[in-house]
Amino acid sequence: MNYPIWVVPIFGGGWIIGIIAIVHVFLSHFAVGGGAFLALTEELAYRRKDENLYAYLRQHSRFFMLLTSVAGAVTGVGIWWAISLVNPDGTAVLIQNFTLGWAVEYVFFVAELATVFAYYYTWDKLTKEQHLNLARMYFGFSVMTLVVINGILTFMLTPGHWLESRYWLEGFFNATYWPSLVLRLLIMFALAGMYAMVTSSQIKDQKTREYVVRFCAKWLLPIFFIGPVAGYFYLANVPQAAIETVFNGVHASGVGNFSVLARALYLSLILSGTVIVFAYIGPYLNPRGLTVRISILFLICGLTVTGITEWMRELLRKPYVVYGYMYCNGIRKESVDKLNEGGFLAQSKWSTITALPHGQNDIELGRNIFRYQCMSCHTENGYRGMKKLLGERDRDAIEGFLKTIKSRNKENNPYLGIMPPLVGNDDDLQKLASYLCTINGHSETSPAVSSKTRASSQF
Amino acid sequence: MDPSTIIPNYQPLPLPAPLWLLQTLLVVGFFLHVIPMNMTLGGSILSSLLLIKGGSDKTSYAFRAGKGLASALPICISFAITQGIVPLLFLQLLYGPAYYTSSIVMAVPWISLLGLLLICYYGTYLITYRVLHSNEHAGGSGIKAGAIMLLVALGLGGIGFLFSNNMTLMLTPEKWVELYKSSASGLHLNLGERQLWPRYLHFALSAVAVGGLTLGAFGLYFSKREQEYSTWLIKTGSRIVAGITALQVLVGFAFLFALPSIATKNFLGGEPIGSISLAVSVVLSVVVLIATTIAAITGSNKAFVTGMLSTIVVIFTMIVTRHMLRVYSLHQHFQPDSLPVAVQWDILIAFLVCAAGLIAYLTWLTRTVWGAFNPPEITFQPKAETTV
Repeated sequence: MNYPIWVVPIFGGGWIIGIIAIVHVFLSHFAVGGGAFLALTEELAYRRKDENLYAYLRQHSRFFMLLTSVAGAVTGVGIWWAISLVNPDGTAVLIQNFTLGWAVEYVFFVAELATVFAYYYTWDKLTKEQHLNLARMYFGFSVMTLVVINGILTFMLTPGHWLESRYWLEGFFNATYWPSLVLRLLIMFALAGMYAMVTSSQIKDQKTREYVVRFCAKWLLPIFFIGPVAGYFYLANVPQAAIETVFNGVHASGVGNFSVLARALYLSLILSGTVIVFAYIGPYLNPRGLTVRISILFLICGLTVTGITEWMRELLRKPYVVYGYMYCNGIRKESVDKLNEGGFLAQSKWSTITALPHGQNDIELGRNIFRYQCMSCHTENGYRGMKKLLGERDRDAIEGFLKTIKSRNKENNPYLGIMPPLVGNDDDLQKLASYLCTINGHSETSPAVSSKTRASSQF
Repeated sequence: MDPSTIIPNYQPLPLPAPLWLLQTLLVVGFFLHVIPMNMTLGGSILSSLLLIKGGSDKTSYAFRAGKGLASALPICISFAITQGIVPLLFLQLLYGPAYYTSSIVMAVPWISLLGLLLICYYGTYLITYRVLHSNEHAGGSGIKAGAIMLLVALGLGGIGFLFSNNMTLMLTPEKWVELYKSSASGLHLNLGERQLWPRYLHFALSAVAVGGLTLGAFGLYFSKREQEYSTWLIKTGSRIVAGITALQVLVGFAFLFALPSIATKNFLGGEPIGSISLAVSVVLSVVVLIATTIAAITGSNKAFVTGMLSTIVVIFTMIVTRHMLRVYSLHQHFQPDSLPVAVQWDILIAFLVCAAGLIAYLTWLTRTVWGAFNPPEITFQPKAETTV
């Protein structure tokens, strides 16, 4: 309503953010955990006076630099690109609230990048102590970038007292800040071990290879022991409504009590457990058997877990982009009453500009309401496509459904935990219904769908 | 259609610091971004030409200079990206409603820019590690590396062009509705904009000039080691800067008169900050022209340094001029000064302390790395990856 909507067919805008964010998380977590790996491994090489280990680190540091400083940095900026195109209002809230926080993160990011280049290009140029210190400093700077960005990310799910005070620090150090920080650090260490398996599996000297491969496997252990505890504290501090969404599902749309979020959570846990068990049985107990292909398989599993977990974290925040403040479609919670009273279209800047001068205005305007209120999660005929979700509903059924999701009473609107309420007056609702009827090709006079069809349709 | 009806609102949250400070950070941040960005674009163009000219003669000055520029590019790109965070951050804060809207109108080319950047970035590493420093490609590596670098330069030039499109589109709200109505899928560019091509040319040429300065700076580095090579670098770099500066006079005027008349008037005495920054830029450009012409003829270090420092100041004043153009263009619809201010003192102080710490750290790091490559009592034995 405030901005034009970027229409992304089939996938929807959410996946543009999702793909870039998942790849970035996978790389940026390696950038931090990998820093710890470089520092500790170099410490080992220094203490053992192990030139083979130094030789390995030289190779590994090139791989590390090429991956984190290029793809890591570009995808990091890419997230800003994507979120500003898909959810400019939500991005503006974060920017206006945390500009100076991001500025602090930038400072540590510059120090981090300068150090990684200095580290890589000064092998054999500095004393061993100086070089080791660079590795330690790199790790310190990279952790500081996490310390800052973690506050902004967790703010979106648990903004806490910021909702009343609007004081940035209360939003920053929020209820999930510390458990999230610990969890992310553990994931970073695990990923560092998995990435290092790729490079260590190629070490020519067998003794060194076995030593490093086993060392890499140990990096997956912390998350095995501490991860569940941190995970418990994280979930304990997530808003109760979000937890209900995880474990109970959306009653009217889920399959029994086994919601999509719970399935994602269990899948993520099972896959993580599998990776850790196989890391123990494989690289740890049998380091000779680790090949490049197997190590890449570990990475693929790691990427999959990262993807599922990030997707789950995003879904956990639904229906908000900033919990309790702004819905995922960019509408502020406090604006809902005003928009219901005066009408959504009447108070929207961009949603009426494509209205046709003659005829079919209702459908066109309904399409715009769909774009503004639904397209942050749904597409017309692709990902979470309305054509499939509407099924055989006719106009009456569609109107009935729209009235349900317009309610802000949880007993009347079971979707409230996962979808923003429909906003607008009756006229808006009629226009949206007119448009939705064109998606599933149902004429307005079609017979009403049976109650069985309605009940089984899932949104 | 009256564009004022579709201008997006700022979020109802106060600015975290006084407007003058945020605008200063926007301008200074862009300055810190432009230097490595220009070194990247100009360096890639010049490196490509020099490598092709050097061909398979690895001892030729052209090849060595091209290789030196190519080797510096990955770090330049990295810093261009990192330093780009600052202006992007403050641009979003102060002019977010304009920037977000124009980005959405041209969403597809705008987001494609990321893929192009990734390819170009890895392209520079490909040239550095796989072509220039690989024995397998010893013969004719200059031409091969130069050809790949040319593609990288084209890609980087394309990225600059996309930026010019968006940065001009965000200044013209009256265009947004028609473009968006014709397609909501973000498939547009701003090709119909009068100031687009002269503006882009002005920026691209200045990048080549900064590339020339980088060559000359390499010359300063070698002045105590290889006098002849040093002089060649300074003369070549200065010739490029002088030639480009002369050309910029024409392009600059074309740019000035392609602007909306109110902006042109403001720059020609109608508004003090814009007029002064433009006037200083023009005067200093004359200094650059004279100093680099002398350096191009005589190979004088002093003349080159005068030209280099003047160019850096010109870049800064031109950035102020560019900022004022944005202020003039958006003033009717966007007034960040209308937003309330609630200074976040704690994080502001933390930022200033961190920034001071960063400067101290980078100074220490530069000295350490410099010392590592230039040990005081050992004859300089450059490694292939880091030499010019």
